[in-house]
This record gives sequence, structure tokens and C-alpha cells, in this order.
Amino acid sequence: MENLEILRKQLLSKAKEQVVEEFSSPEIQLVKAVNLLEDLDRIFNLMAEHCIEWYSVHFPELRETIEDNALILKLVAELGKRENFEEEVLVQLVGEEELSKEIFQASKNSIGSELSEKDFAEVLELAVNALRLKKQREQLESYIQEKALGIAPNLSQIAGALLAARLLSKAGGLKRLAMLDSSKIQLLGAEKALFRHLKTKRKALPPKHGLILQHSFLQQLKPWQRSAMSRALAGKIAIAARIDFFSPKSRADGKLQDSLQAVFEKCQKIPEKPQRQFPVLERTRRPERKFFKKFNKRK
Amino acid sequence: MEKAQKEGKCLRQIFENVFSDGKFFYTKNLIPGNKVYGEKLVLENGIEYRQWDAFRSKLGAGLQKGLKQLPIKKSSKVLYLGSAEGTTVSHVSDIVGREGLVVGVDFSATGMRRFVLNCENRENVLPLLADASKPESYPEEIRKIKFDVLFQDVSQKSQAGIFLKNSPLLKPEGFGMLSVKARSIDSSENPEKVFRQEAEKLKEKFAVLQIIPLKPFEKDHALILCRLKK
Repeated sequence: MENLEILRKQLLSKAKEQVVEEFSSPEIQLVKAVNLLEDLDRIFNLMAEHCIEWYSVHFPELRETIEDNALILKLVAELGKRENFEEEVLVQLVGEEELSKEIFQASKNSIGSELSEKDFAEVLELAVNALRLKKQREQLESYIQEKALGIAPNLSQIAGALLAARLLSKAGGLKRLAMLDSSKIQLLGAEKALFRHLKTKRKALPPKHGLILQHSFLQQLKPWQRSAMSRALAGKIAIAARIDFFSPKSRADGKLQDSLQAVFEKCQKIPEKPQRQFPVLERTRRPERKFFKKFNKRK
Repeated sequence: MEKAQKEGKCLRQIFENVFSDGKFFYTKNLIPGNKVYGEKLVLENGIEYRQWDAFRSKLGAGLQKGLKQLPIKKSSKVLYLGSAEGTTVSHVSDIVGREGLVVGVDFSATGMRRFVLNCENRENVLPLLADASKPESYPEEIRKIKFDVLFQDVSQKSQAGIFLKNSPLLKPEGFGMLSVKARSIDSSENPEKVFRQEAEKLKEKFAVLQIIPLKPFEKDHALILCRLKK
């Protein structure tokens, strides 16, 4: 029993050491930062939506003329009530003369109602906070890009630093990403669609791309051109991740980039195929639950 | 230190050191006043009991769904694979008491961080950060121990394989409990079929005593109770 106590102490201290070691790797920070980035986006959209909705009571035309949420919030935070919308200041803030003229006109003929000082203070506070969040998000993004470049330089070159960081965080570290096959990398982030495909006995179409859809090459292509491109891109990402993990000092020096560029140019020339008719999925009814069965009988 | 609620519940002993008031299961708290995962504490006749949350522990769910026999007893030695944050391990450690022993094995450092903090003051729990699919990587001292019970709750593809690999650490005619997660073996197959397949794989070495589906506590999970063949 005494031996056991010694063994227990040893194992405890060993486990603690291993935990400390595990959490000191820079990849952990990257994963946390990427998760935070996604949540910050969500929170910002929510706050902006609330703020603009509320402000629209006072000045509904602003939302119709400007599409960019961040710009609306900026105007709200800087200028406040629509009476303060002056032409010269607007040009400075918006940057476009035509648009600012339009806004100025709208502010003069607005159908919005009046807000009391107290109500307005709340809206203003919300706008200022949302803008602060936006600023934090941008700082975080540059932090993530810097971090990703440090951890996986080749991967960042191929995929772009932000996408590289997202892939790393989804896979759970550089080691795991390097061990994945390219078909898995292609579908990272498309788990929902993949399992829908598998579960419906392949009646639902399989996904073509997951996170890598954010890559600029795929964004530039038409949907029917994307499948070949995403396969090629996933392959190159896999190679780059392996270079980064197994020989961190070597650089691919644009070789991967060049071959990707070639595939991209080929893909751009793929013409649209005539639309195939896919079988429509029949919605199966859920079986009646026991409780309802009983309930119906009694009736 | 949290104060236990005083309640006049009449607890009945169901298995050795496992109690029930007809709705929930309880274990005697090894360290009175200590909560592990925010569970309810109940005081009866001066003894403090911890409520077993069946939604957070697969062994607890198995008990609720009618486990015939609980091989984990007072002063048993238990090898627990996939200890995670130590929720179930804390109850197992309550059952085996100070003479018993629980070795919690887990691969994830995130889970281990909380587990180490939880089990630091439980004298009968040993944490082990190791890969359960490689029992040969365990320390020599652990491999020498002959365990009474092997409990496994991991979400890997080869769940039965890992279980069989660890079975040599059991003593002759030792018990095994395997919690199967059907979705990590085959995401599109019918879970019932997967349970039967996994039980079939165990029959190489074990006699399967009971297969308990853990619905509604856990989705697509089952607990298999088995015993080493002679």
C-alpha cells in the first residue's frame, strides 16, 4: 500500500507535467483565437442588427441607402441624430460624394419619428460597443495571421493565413492536419453535408468542399468549375502541411503555387454542363410516437 | 465546502455502496463536502451522499436502465479507460473506497487538466495520460496490477479492439464493462446492429452478460457487461 502511495504521487506529477507541456504549444493559442474570431463575428452581427433596427425608428432611410453595417454604425456613433448629418462631414466619413449626397437628402426628408435623449443614449452606447468589437476582431485577425505564418509558413502561402489557421484549428493542430488525407482536408468543415450524404444511403449529394471554399481561387470560379479545383487545392494543402510538419525549415518556393495556378486556369475554361435532373428526396414521415398513439386512441 | 441538503430520503442499498431513493442513484461521498461536477449532496443519518447524474455518466445511465449486476465493489481495483474529466471516476472511487483503486487513463490533455484537479484529493485515484490503444506504454507498476474490473468509455473507431488489448491486465474471470458509441464506429449503420457486432467481437475472450442501450440518457450508446471466459 505504501508503494501505491509513492506511485500515485509519481503519476500525479507526471500527468501535471504532461498537461503543462501540451498547453504550452502555440497551436493551442491559435485554436482558441480562431474559435473566438468566429464568435466575435456572430456577436458583432447580432449587435449591429439590434442597433440598426432601433436606429431605424428614428431614420429608416439610412439602412436602405447603405449596405455596409459597419459604416451605418460609424455614422450613428459619430453623428448621432439625423439633424446632425451635414454634407461636409458626411463626405469625410463615407468617402463617396454621391452616396453622401444621397444620405444628406434622405436625412432632410426622413419619415422617422423622434427619439428622446434617454432612448438615444442606449442606441449610441450599443453602436460604440459594436464598433469596439469590430476593432478587436480586426486586431485578432492580424494576430491569427501572424501566428499561422509562424506555425505553418508553406500552408499559409498556399491557403492564405486565415484559411490556414481555420484548417489548423478544425483539424486540431499541425500534426493532425499533416496526417489527414487530402480528401478529408477537402471536406473539413462540411461534416453536416457529408453525414447527410452517408445517412440517406447516398441519395443526398455529397459535398464538394468544406472550409477550403473560402480560398480565393474557389471564390472566383463558377459552381460547376469548383469540384476539380477543390480536389487539386486540397491535395496541395496536404502537401504543404506535411512539409511544414516534417521539415519545418524547408520552403516549397512557389512550386505548389504554380501548379495550382495552372489547374485554376484550366478550370476556368470548363463550360457549363446541361443540368442533370436529380431524384427528388422524398420526405419520410416520422413514425407516430407512442404517447400520441395512446392519446389518439382515447379520443 | 458546500453544505449538504438535509433531506429525509429513505435510501436503499441496491449494489454494494450504491444507493437509491427510487428515482436517483447515490454514492457515499469519499470526501464529505466536496463536489466534483456540481452534483447534489444529500445528508442522511450523518452520512453524506452524492447524487449520480445519469445524463453525464454512462455507468450512471446503465444503472438507471437496469444493470443486472455491478462488478465494481468495495475495495475492487478498476482500470478506467477514457476517464475524461473524472465525472464517473469520482463515483467509482466512492464505491471502491479507500482500500480500492481506480486508474484513470485518458489521451486528451484538456480532459486530463480537470481530471488531475478533481482526483488530487481522492487517495484511491491514479491519473495516467496515455494512449489506451497501446497498453504496453503504461508504466511497469500499473501493468503489474491485476485488475478486478475493466471499464472503457472511449470514442474511437476500434472500441472492441482497445478493450481486448487491455483485457490481459484483468485477473482471471475479471469483469469488463464497455460503453459503445455507435456513431464513432459507423455513422450511417443502425446502432443496434453496431452493438451486436461489437458484442460479437468481445466473444473471442469474454462471455457477454448484458447489453443495455442507454436511450434516453445517451444517444446511440450502449453499455456491455461481460466477464472473462475461464
